[in-house]
Amino acid sequence: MPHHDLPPDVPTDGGGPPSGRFPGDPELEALLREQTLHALPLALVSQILDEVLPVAPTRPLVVLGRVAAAVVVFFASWFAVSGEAPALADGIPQARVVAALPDSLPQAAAVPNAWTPPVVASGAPQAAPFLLAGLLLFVAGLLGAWWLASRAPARSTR
Amino acid sequence: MSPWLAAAETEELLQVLLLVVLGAVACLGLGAATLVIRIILPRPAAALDRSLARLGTGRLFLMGVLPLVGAGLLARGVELARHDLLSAAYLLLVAIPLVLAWTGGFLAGLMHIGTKVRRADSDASPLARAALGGLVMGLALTSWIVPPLGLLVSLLLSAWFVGIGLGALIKRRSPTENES
Repeated sequence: MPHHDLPPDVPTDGGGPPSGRFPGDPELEALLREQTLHALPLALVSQILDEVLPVAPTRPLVVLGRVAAAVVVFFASWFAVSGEAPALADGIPQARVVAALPDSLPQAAAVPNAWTPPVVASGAPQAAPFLLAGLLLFVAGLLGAWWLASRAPARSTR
Repeated sequence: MSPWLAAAETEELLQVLLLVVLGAVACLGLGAATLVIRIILPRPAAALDRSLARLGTGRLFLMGVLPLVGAGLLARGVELARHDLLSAAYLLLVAIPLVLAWTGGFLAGLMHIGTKVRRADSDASPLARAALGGLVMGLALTSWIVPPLGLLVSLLLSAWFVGIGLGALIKRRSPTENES
């Protein structure tokens, strides 16, 4: 649900300042926040696919490369925003992502039992995205090197 | 200017001059060491030279940059994982082959740079070309004074070297390809 379609602020009973969009229903606020966090990467990927995919693809390799790029962006954005793999979010601290949400969303600090970023205790989950991305890039690089070298012209053009 | 200040400035100037001289000697020594290794290992050196001559600069850079970036990400992942078996596998399967490819590319690339920067009509000896290549390479790395520029130069050079090394390896394993 777009944030501008949300209902207006519900006035409080005078027991302090309003704490968010739904001050009387923390569960609803938490649910709304979680759904928004998961909707962001999906909307981003939808936009990317609209931009990069040609209407009439001509070369399968080009289409495959663009789809692969969209998938990489999708997972990167998912990891960064959802917090399920916080290692990729090292460069994009999750607090900043949460702080960048629209003002109409409830503030986590003011809502009891609100959604909080998961805390990763061990180093293994943090290493997984680096290992996966590194392995993919390394293997793709070696295959690409083989492909480029095997199709090089016989004589140097320099 | 007080004598103390003048003495301090003189000492700093001497230190800088000493650093420059030591750096120049190190670069010349690097060129000489490269030439020695090329003399000791003539066949790999010839294969690396052929790789450099056959594949264009852009192709070599593309061949080297992805494995290099992938290895960097893998190194970060291995560091975070803190797993002995993973570290050993990374060392054996990624780091050592990549360092060997980089070193091979360095052997050919340094001589190539030394050849390119001299005058076209000059007939410089291999030692002169190697020393000149080492000197130019060392001067290029002074771009680390501006870190982003140094990073760019280092990435370009390293990817180029790795590409040369991989190109030599691939060509040797496919002797029937593209030979005229």
